[in-house]
Amino acid sequence: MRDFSTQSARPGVEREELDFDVLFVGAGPSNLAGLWRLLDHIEAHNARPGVKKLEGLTIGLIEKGDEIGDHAFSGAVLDPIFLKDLCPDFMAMGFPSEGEVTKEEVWAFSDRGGFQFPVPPPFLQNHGNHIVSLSKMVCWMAEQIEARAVDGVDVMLLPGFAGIKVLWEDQPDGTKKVVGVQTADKGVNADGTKRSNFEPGNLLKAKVTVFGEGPRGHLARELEAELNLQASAMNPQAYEMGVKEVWDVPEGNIEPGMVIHTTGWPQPEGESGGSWVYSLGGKQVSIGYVVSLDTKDPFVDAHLMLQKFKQHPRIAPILKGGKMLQYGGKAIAIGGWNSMPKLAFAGGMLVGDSAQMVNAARLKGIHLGMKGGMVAAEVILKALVEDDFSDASLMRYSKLYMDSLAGKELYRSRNFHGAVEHGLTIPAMMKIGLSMTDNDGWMPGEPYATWTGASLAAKGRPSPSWMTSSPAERSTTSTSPATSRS
Amino acid sequence: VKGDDVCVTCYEEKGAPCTIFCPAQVYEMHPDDKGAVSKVDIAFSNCVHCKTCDIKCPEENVIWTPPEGGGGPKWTIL
Repeated sequence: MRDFSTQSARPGVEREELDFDVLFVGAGPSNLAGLWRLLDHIEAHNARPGVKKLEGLTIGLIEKGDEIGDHAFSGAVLDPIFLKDLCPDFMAMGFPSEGEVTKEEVWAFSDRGGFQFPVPPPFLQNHGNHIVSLSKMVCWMAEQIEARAVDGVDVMLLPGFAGIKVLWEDQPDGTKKVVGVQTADKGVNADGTKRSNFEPGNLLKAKVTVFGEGPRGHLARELEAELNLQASAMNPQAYEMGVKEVWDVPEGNIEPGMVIHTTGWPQPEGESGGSWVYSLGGKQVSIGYVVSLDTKDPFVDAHLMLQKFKQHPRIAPILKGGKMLQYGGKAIAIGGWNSMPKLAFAGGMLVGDSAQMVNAARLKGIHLGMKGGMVAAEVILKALVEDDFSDASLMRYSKLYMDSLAGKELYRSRNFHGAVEHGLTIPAMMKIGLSMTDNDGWMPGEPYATWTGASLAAKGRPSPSWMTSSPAERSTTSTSPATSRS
Repeated sequence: VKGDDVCVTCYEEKGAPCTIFCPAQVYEMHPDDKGAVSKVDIAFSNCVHCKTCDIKCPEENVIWTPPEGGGGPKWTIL
């Protein structure tokens, strides 16, 4: 057995203990939006007359990458809906947009040509959305947060620290509570022995820990084993995997603001997958290929697909004369609403890809994750004020999120991944067509179509608000910012 | 990787898909002259932290854990 995780055990090592009020695990868009919004909320709270002020707070954020943004990976086209909420004048503040989407194509490829949809399907219409590099975007968010000074709050951004183990505490009622994470030891040989520069990992204790580890987090695995979070979900978590390259290309090869999505060739028949080509200001191109990880054939090679894809007659001219700059790969959480685990538990919360906050139809999740962090921040503020970090207190996040615009979007797209599981077949197209009518994303064959609010509650899930509330109530359920940045 | 024997059996019966689906070629099998393998070679410095192996290993034999902090890819424009 070669267990690279033995470092979490390593008995007899003295570990320093650091105390935080709130600890964010992972510097992705969800957690950074959460931290940002939490600072807004604390500022607004402390400015309110007649309330007990929050003082002497320490908020930490750890990230396994050497710098913030090193491990951030996405296409990406960002729907700025919740970014506008967070920061209305984001463009004026130097947001690293690669341009708004102005032209788009959706193709079903064959090996030599293909069929171009005359009008992109509604869920793939991206006009007004921003093409971004997620690495640049999270760097920018971290810079904005670092530049802020909020009275009574100490913010520590700690890149280079990987969480390796969840710290637990027994509660009087026999259940366990999350009280932080342990970071990985540094200076260890591959066989687990210590090197001369050995540095023990620290115990980071926090009243509430927000896990935004991305898809299939190794800490989320531990949480799942202990708390069985997936039990309240309809489906297990589902994933895809994307590989991506960024190219420098001669000007004129691709217009700025151009977005191409394709499906079909070169993926094997009966599997789902597809590609993107995004123009980064006309001078660079982001190109990538995504394959589903629940394929029948385990030998699907995403990297090979991308190489074949680049030779397609529609794609090759774009890259002609160009040079590849960086490449990478990442799993994508794609399960959406049907796969979402329990979002909060005593002492902890899940945000972003860890909680499967991705809209499979729109191929987007950054904005949904950001909203997750922002809603979590709202609940954390309440928890800090009430000094209550129990399951019930933090579960308010789940209800609020599911009732928000983000939750509704996830609900509407819940059946998409299931429909295209075996490729873009005729039945899949019919189902997608049906779900685009005004029926909240219902598709034939959906086992949950007859579900009522009560049966959802029995599964520990908040019922979607439109099942239970009047339209007037619905319009007020989305949370508005407590304060805008001045 | 929990157990090498599982990987060897997987190689013989299933052809070790990890050597194909990993986008960064972390997992390599090196058959000897007789075509037999004894272990899987893990080039963890190649790893881009995509976690596909944790999801897709047919034997659920891979439990991905991060190396010490500060490792992994250094993307700036992805």
